[in-house]
Amino acid sequence: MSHQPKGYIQEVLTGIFVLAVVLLLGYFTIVISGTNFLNPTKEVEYQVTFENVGALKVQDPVFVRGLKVGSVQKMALRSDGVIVTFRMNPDVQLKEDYTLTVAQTSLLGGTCLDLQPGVMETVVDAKSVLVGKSPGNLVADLNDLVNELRDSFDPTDLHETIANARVFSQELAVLTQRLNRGEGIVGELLAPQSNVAKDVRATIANLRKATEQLNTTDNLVGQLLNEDRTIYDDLCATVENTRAITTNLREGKGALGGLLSDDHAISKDLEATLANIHQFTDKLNNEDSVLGQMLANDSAFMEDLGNTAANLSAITSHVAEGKGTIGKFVYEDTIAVETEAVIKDVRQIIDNLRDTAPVTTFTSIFFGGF
Amino acid sequence: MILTREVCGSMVQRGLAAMGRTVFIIVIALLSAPLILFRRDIRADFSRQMYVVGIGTLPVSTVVALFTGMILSLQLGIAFRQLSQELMVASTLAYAMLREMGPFMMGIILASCVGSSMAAQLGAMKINEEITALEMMSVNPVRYLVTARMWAMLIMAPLISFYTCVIAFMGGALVAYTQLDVPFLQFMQGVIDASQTKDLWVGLIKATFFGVMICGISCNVGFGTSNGAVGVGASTRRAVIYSFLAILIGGYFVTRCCYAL
Repeated sequence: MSHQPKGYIQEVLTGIFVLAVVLLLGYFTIVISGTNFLNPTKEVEYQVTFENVGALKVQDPVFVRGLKVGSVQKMALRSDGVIVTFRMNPDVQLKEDYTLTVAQTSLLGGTCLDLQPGVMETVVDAKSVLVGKSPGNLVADLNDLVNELRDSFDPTDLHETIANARVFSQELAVLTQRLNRGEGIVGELLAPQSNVAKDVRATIANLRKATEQLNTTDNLVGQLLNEDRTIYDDLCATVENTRAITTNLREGKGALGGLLSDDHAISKDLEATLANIHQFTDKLNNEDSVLGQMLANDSAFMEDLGNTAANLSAITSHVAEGKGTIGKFVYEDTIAVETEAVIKDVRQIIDNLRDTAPVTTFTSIFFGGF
Repeated sequence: MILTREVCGSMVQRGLAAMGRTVFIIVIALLSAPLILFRRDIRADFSRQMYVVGIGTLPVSTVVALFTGMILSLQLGIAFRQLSQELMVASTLAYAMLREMGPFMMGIILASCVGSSMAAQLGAMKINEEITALEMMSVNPVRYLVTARMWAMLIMAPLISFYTCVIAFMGGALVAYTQLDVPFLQFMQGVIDASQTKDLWVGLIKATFFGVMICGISCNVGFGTSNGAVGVGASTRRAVIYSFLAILIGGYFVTRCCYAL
């Protein structure tokens, strides 16, 4: 090198410098363009639609649980929103319940795609267009909130609210003082050696004992709670039988099923009977019929019937006492004997008349002719 | 009043004439690029100018860029530490250096080191009537003297600008590691994440523009040197001042053209 002219050394140095800087410039350009030149990986390309992408831009990172797994490649405006193309590590698999949001990396700015891959089993196809959530505008939301608060709060109400808050704080101070003194149930509970606290502890101990017993199989509830198969099987069988019964009832089987079904003869007969009963009861309610008059309140017929019954009662009492002809007839044999004799005499007279009737008739006709 | 008007008018006229001559020199020098390929003497001059512009300014560029990066990182770190956002130093430094500070610092260094040298060289040649001799030999002094300088500046300016940015990033990373507890690789990753391709290329274009402007202005001032050795000194001073003004004013308009509000 020392034998070379000075100009040659300068040219070599200049060449080295230019080459080094050009190579560095090329590498830097490749790196910042998003291409991992030295460690190429097969990234999967996805497309996602957003209604609004906020300040998202090309080369913004894609984060999964805070780790960068890809970057935004391009964005295109569509009539219904913005379609964003991003590339991502193939190890990250999107499930059906994924969420993709445009998020801010810090309060000072910077945006990224925040991806929650999801936990469901079905994997989303990389060729399908995903749907992302648009970012919220924090400043605008805060502005709206402040405006709403300003509109909803009247200064008078605000003063009243402050006064109420002051009263509330004073009452709270009194309350805490009472609690510190151990007054009231809560105060006693908070007191270290209070009876209420002891009772509560005893109750809790009882509860613990009860739950321990429930955990055993010595009692019915415990057996039910601790997977006793026999009771469970019985219950299952009962339920099965109930299901069979209800099925038969639904299908109209048996008398009860027939009664419950719409098109069975028994049910139709029952319907007809009920109709007749209905008609009958209607007539009973009608005072034109005899039974209706009998059932009706303040009816003249019933009054007559009552009087008649009273008369009959009087007659029968007279008869029972042997009063009157019928009574004597019932209770005395002489009248019956005499009556029988009279009847016999009358029958003989009639027989005599029947025998003498032709002679009498001939005599009447013979003497009638004269 | 009339005198003032005449003086002002004369100054405006001279300013416009100087701008016109500068543009004329730039255009002639750029169009004379084939001379570098086909003429050995100009090619040798081009190689020498590349060395002067590139390697000659490298120590200054390194020191300036390193400490600029360190200062920026420290100042930004003090501010961002209050927000617990130390890593934002990397992204802010990347924005600042690639977009503006890299080309600007490169312009300042080249104007100070190379521009002043060009103005002094050409001024001395003018005083010694070497340029007049060239004209007498029907040799265009702009093509013969400026072409190599212009193309050397045009090629080396963006490279030095990018070199300045890289050294500034390293200085910033050094301060971030020692003062802000940000790991070196994490800082550089933050720089890469924050860097945009457009920022890089706009910075390089801006640096190229600055280099061309510095060379054109310095050569024009050098050609206009008069009044002996005192004039050479004055030309050197004027070349630096005009170059700074051109960097500041031109930088704004290039930025405005490339970045819409």
